[in-house]
Amino acid sequence: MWLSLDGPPSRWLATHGKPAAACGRRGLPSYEPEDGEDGLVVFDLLICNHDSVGQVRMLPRSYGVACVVAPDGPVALHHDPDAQWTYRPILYRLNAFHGIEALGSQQELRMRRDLRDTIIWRGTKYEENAAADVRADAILREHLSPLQRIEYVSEGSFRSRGGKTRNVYRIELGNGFQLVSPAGETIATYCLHPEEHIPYADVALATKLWLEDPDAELEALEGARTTVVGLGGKALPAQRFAERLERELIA
Amino acid sequence: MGELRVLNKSGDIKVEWDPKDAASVANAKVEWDRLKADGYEFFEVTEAKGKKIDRFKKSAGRVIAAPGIKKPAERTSGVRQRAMAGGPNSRLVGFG
Repeated sequence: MWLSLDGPPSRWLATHGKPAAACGRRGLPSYEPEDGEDGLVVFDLLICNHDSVGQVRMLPRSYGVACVVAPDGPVALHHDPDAQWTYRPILYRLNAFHGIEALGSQQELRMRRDLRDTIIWRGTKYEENAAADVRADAILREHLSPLQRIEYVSEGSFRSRGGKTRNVYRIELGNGFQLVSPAGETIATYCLHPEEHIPYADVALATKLWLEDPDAELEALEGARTTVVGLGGKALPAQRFAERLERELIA
Repeated sequence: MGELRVLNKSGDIKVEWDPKDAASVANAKVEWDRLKADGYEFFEVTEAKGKKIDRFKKSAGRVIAAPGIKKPAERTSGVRQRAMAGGPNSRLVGFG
């Protein structure tokens, strides 16, 4: 599946309330293979004309660091020169309810892992990956409080209280975490995950441990990528972007 | 029994040690040092609450090794530097 986005990125990134530096087409540094694996298939996963000429080609061995360097500094919307998939959004899927849906970072990592496993390992690692998810889910449940466990089972997310600030955070599997108000409204979203894919439940458990420890909470918040959405707003900037994309491309 | 659970792509890996068995303690310490060098941080967990610890304690009950967090200033990685310097993957720079 691919989508084509025409025009410079500054136009369609600016809707997120921040001025976006134009991205040059130079500066896709490198794809570093994981564990030395090397694929022979060039696979066009996404065509993104972020400078009216360039394409982003996802190679099977591109499970590593890929980014676009903006001449004027970080690009708005999830840019980090050394993070995975910093040029956002990169991966979309068609969803019957939301139309075009931009996936979160963890979901992109997972997709790329599965894609790599399919192409390189011919699907032989599917069971291994499924077993990893089961183990991760089990260890997460072991370390949730009873109320968190109920929330996790019923909603797929759970709330946690910051050890230092006493803020309430909602940790979602595969979707970072959000700072929520006492009424449950999302104030800010945070993206914080390892640079390589690990099961969502492991990321959620690690996030919970970081946030609940008084000495570690601020460190976690400092390292997370933040988007402030305001009270009453939807938590997902990617969702707002996807909606705008849908209006422009499909409508 | 002490237990070290490592959160990684295989779900989790368990390393156990007996405080009275020097060999298992040494083995756990080696694993601890290796994970620390890889950027992991450690939380001693009791009753669904974790406390960050910096040193291996053989008296610890359950310890979870979670990926560490890079501060924004520390995020410059060798990959980007190697590519900019003309490393083996630099041929991919500017493609499209």
